[in-house]
Amino acid sequence: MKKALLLYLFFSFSCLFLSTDVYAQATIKGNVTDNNQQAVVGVNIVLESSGAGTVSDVNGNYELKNVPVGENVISFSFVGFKSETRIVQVEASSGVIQLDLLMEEDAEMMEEFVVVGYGTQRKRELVGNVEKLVSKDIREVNVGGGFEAALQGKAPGVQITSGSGAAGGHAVVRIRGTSSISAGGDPLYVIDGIPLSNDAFILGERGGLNNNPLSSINPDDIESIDVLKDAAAAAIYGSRGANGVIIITTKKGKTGKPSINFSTKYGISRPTRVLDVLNTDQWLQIQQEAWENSGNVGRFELPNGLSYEDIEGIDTDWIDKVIQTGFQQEQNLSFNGGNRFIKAYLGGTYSNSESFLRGNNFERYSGRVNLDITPIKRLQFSISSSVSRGLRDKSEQAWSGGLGWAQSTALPIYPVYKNDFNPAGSAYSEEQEYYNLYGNPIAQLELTDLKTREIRFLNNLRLSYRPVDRLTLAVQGNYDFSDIGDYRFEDEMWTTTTDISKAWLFNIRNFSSTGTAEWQAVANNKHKLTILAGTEYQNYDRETLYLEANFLDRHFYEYDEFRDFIDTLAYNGEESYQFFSLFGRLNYSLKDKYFAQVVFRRDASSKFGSNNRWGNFPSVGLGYIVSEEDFWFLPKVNYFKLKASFGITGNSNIPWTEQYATFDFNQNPGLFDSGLSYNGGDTEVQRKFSNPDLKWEVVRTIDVGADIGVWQDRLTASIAYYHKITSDALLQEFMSASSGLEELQLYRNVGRIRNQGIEFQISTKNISQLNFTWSTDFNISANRNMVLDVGNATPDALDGGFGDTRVLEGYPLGVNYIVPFSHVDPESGRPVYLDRDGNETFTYSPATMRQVTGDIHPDFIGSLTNNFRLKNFDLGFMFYYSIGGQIYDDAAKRHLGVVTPDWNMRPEMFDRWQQDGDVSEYPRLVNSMTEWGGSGNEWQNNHTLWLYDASFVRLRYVQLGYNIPFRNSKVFDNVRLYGRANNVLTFTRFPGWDPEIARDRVNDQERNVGGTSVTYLTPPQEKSFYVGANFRF
Amino acid sequence: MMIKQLHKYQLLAALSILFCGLCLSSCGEDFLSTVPDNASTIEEQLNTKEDARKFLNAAYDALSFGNVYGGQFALVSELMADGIDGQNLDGDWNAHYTRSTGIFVGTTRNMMHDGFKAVARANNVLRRLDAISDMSETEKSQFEGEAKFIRAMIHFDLLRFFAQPYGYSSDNSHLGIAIRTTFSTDLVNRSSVADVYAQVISDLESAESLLPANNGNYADQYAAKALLAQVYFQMNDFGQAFAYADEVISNSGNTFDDDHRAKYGFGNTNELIFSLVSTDIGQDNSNGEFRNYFRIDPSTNSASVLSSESIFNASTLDPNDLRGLNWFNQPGEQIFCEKFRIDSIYANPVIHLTEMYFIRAESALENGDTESAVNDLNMIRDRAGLTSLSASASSGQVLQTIRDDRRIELYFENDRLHELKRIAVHDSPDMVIRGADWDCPGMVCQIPDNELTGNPDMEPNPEAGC
Repeated sequence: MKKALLLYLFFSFSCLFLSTDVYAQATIKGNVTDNNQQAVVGVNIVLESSGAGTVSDVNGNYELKNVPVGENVISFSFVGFKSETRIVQVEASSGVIQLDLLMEEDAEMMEEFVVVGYGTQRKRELVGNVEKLVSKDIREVNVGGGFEAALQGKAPGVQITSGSGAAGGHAVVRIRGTSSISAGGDPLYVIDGIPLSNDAFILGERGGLNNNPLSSINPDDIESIDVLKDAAAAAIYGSRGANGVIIITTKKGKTGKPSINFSTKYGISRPTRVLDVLNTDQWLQIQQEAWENSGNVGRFELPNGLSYEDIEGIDTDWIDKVIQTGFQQEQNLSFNGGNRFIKAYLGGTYSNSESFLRGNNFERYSGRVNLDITPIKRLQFSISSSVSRGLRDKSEQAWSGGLGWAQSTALPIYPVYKNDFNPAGSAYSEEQEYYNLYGNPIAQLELTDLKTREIRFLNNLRLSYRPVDRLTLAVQGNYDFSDIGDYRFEDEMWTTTTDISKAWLFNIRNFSSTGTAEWQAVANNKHKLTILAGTEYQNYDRETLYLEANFLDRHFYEYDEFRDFIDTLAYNGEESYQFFSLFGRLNYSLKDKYFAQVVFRRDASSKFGSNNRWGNFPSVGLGYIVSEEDFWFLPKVNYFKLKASFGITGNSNIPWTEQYATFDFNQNPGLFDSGLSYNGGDTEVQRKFSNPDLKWEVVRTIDVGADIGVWQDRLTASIAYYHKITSDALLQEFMSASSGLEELQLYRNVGRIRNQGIEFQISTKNISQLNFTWSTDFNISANRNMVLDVGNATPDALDGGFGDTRVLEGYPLGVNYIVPFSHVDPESGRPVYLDRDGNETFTYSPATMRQVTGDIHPDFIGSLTNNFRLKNFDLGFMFYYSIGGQIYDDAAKRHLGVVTPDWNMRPEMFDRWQQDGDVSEYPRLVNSMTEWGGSGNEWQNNHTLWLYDASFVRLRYVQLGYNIPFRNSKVFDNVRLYGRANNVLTFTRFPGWDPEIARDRVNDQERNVGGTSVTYLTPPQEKSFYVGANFRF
Repeated sequence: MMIKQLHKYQLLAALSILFCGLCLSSCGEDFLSTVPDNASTIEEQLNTKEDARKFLNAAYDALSFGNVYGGQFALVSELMADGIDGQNLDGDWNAHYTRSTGIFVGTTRNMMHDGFKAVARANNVLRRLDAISDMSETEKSQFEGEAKFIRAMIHFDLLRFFAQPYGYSSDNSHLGIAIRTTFSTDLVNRSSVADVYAQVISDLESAESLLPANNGNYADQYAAKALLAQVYFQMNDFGQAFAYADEVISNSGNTFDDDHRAKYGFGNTNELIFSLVSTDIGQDNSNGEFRNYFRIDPSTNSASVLSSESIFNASTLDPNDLRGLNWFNQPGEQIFCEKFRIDSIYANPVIHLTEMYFIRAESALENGDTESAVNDLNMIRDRAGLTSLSASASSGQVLQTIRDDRRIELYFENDRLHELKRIAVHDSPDMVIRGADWDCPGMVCQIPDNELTGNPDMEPNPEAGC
């Protein structure tokens, strides 16, 4: 490149001597191109001596007239590119001097560009609401985890609830509140133009865990993440944009000196908190007291016929037995380099992260190749391809076992093995046999084995061609393939019959193709028009296979030939849907200060009923940089922009079979028997009726906002207000059980929901010295959610799974609909409840007394981040906060409620009523709720005593880094060392494990309605400490 | 002006892309219509006799579900009465045991839903019967009869769990359950107990006339008659109960087994008037739940369902009583029922001849025919290895013996709770069942949330426990 420039200069210089004409002034003209041989439009070209300037046109051509004789400094600048200056010697005889320039993209400045779906826009021109994260914010956030974690606290209005401490766990992501009840509330993820398949419920809630399909993406490969929050930004994704869109762009090769990056991380993981449960003495004391209070005499009768002699000396700390210090590591190696013909990014990673849960580990290998090939001018091929293999060793959690059992059904009086009992007792056995098999988490860990193996290919091929300068035609083909196997092996000692091997196999082929045409025009350097038109087709296919065998002694996945058994053992399932779309976007800017955008998308999908095949999704947005006006009166405010937009987006996260009447067939004998045959004959059942009117949810969003920059951007801030109305919201309407329909819940478009909120963020550079900088970022967002209409649905029709969260008209989506607990009666020790009129009563009747007592949504979420840099050291830390809302601890009714001999309890229980006049937190200890006027089912003891303030402030991370200064090193360009601690401190009033909850769920409605506000033995988040080093060669 | 700068071919290229898109959109419906394999219409699915058999098989299959006759009905009828040791119970079972089911009880949800699945499946056959081309009128009658039998059976039993018994109010106007005679999503409120009985009887009378005398493993006319005997007996209508029980005993062709346990085993019984078939294919077992209830967990040496001492003592009172062998009991160990553990696969004996003898005996006694009553009772007692009751025994003594033997003989067979309530209505208004008045609110199961939720007008039962 330098050579070329020299040549140009030489040429200009020689002109000097060859020229015979005489001018007093000269003209400098030329063409500006980028690394891809593409014209750079809108480059500012300034003659430094006079300040006179011009701008390159759509072909990258410019002409600078009246350049005086002498040495002239000319500067070229354009956002996103490195600024260049050139010195041009102008002689009287110069005439026209040709000065072409190749401008290099500036990675640092790329932040000013945002990816908006099928293209990029300068942030300045943006009329929608988009947040951007770049590589450096993403790659160091955890060890071997998913990239979602990086978003937490970084984007106002985006609520990220990190997955529980289980390795590779799923996070719950909600952008600007929850706008759906029964349909999926997750945003659309698009990686390099590929709309990702992302089904957290593909493995159900098996083992007390949901799957995290995003964990197959290596955060180190990510160049940037753009979060499209409002309709102006997301309408280009039409019927899938309503929950927001998260666009992931992977690293691309760059021209220039090739570089090799190696990064390594090592760390450990512990739970953020360990819950206290009773030891043997405490447990026996509580049981004895309840035993006597319930009218029994003598010593409390131990469960399972155990005698006191048997359990002498036994005090098992089960929680300690199932948690550990997890060891984690991650290694990344990547190459980046290229020339004008080919640019490449190659990356490979290995990570292995153990969680603090015994038996839980996530190992990931992944590799990526991104190539950009420019064989001839104006033509570019891009190939982007990655493969990853994740292997997750799972230990069951929550209701399903593991840590869940360790704090509940595994009693301190139970030993792990029968021969741990007192040898003098009758329960003692010489054999090393597990005691209490189905409540013993160690037996479960050792006799069952759960693995999930996920192989994922993400590929795309893009061909773009510019027949002329202003037009870009592009076609892109995408293939997203996942092969997921969930395996389970149960030892014969566990099943007490035979070894059982099970496998749930999924094969997902998600194909999509896009064709776009983008046309740009600039006129008079004032008008700039960009028109994008495109079409997209997506075909998603999933095959499911379930296998079960009792004649293997290992996992299915250890058998290559297991497919031989398929005929006799398999149970098949499928999922398939298509989308076909047309879309267009028009951007117009006037004088680079007035901006307008119109977006239109038209979607058809096989998921929609035959009466509603096509949906239209328009949006319009305006932007205005007021500070560019001549009348601008605040000189210190260098940037002030106003934005407003309106648009319609849709949510089509509905199961693919919902529009049809479906039938269950059972051919008998035949494939795996579903238990539905009768009398040796076939059966057939109609599951439900068809609904040809089924359609997407419609979300209308208004967004207004302002961006401000003060003191040359020493302080930047932005504020946004949004108002979203979901109509035709999908509800799983409940049919009466007596209808006898197989599926009592049918999807109907009947609901209306409103979300409105304010987002504010401010960034300041408090100190900005050469050797010391200090910057602060703060953001806060408040979302208010209200259900406007749910048709005829009764409160229990739309539930959030366990924990009694419900949807009621006139309330936020997801309220705690339970009986209010008032206090413990000091006279009798009985719990006192409140009826619907607020009167105190001993009666406990959920059928008539439940009311709205709280909601699942925080009032405010946000973060405060500080970053310091002293010479080569940097220090950063972030507090993340979530204020308001309620947590319902669904396990507290057992940990702190009725005393039964099959559960362990918590020491807070000692604050119970014992005698007349006692003022206590918990009532008199009893064995059955019937003694308190309730149901004999202790699981129905749901009331506000277990409802807690969900607020918390968490020191999400502290990170200290050091960039070793290598001057003129032959080996290293850069070496960075850092140490980081995640979830170091948590401030909360919630007495359970952890206030940040992403519990296992069975479907989208449970996630929407139960939110992240119900916990049931859910493992806490991890506290992790790690050190890392990045090397660039 | 800008358009002017645009060359013709640029415009063409751009337009052609759009055009392709539009083309695809107009013909796009084809590649958008992925229909699931299991999506169809009833018109396509239920057209032939073979189809109808499949759909009706599914209704029988629903009867055999673990939440219906496959276990739960039998369990709950004992839990709420006096046959279970409640010491180790928790959760839903304890709610039944303590007669305090709320609206969120899994067992009642499943009983209601799975029970009505059988009704809906039967109704779906009924609505398509006219459209079936390859069936004779006789065959259609038979299918109609089977469907109505299934419908009646479920309505009768769910009514007994979810409503106060027949005779609780003088005109039986107290709330029963929803009557479902169509396959639909319609909201249906609860009918009175009188209306539900009327519907049950009308379906059974219709079934009785439509069904053949012998119908293989499916319901035949004697199944309908036997169920009518049960229904009338529950209503304390001893004339009708006697007549139907007598007709079944005399004409059904079923004969009394020599071994009282034969009907709980595989293949060696001739007592089954209506049973749910089990085959050894896959999981096609109508008794799966029974095995779960009484399976011994080797790590703790305990079964999930333990029997009460009172039922154990009653059946071991006479050391010669062969029915005493029905219990697993070792000194210091827990007591649980063994009669369902003989074979792993056997037909679920929903209505059998022994029960018809009990009905005929007690009805005869009520009708004044003590001699017949004693004869019937002695058949059962002889088989159990007990001394025969003397023909001169007082009617009170005969009545008590019938009821005592019935309790032992029909233990865990979906009988005890309903029988106690029938007796209370008939002659013991002050009856107390394990500490609770027979007619207190908790003695009926609360209507579960899955029945209340979809219908804002559906009334729950009163919730005041017992």
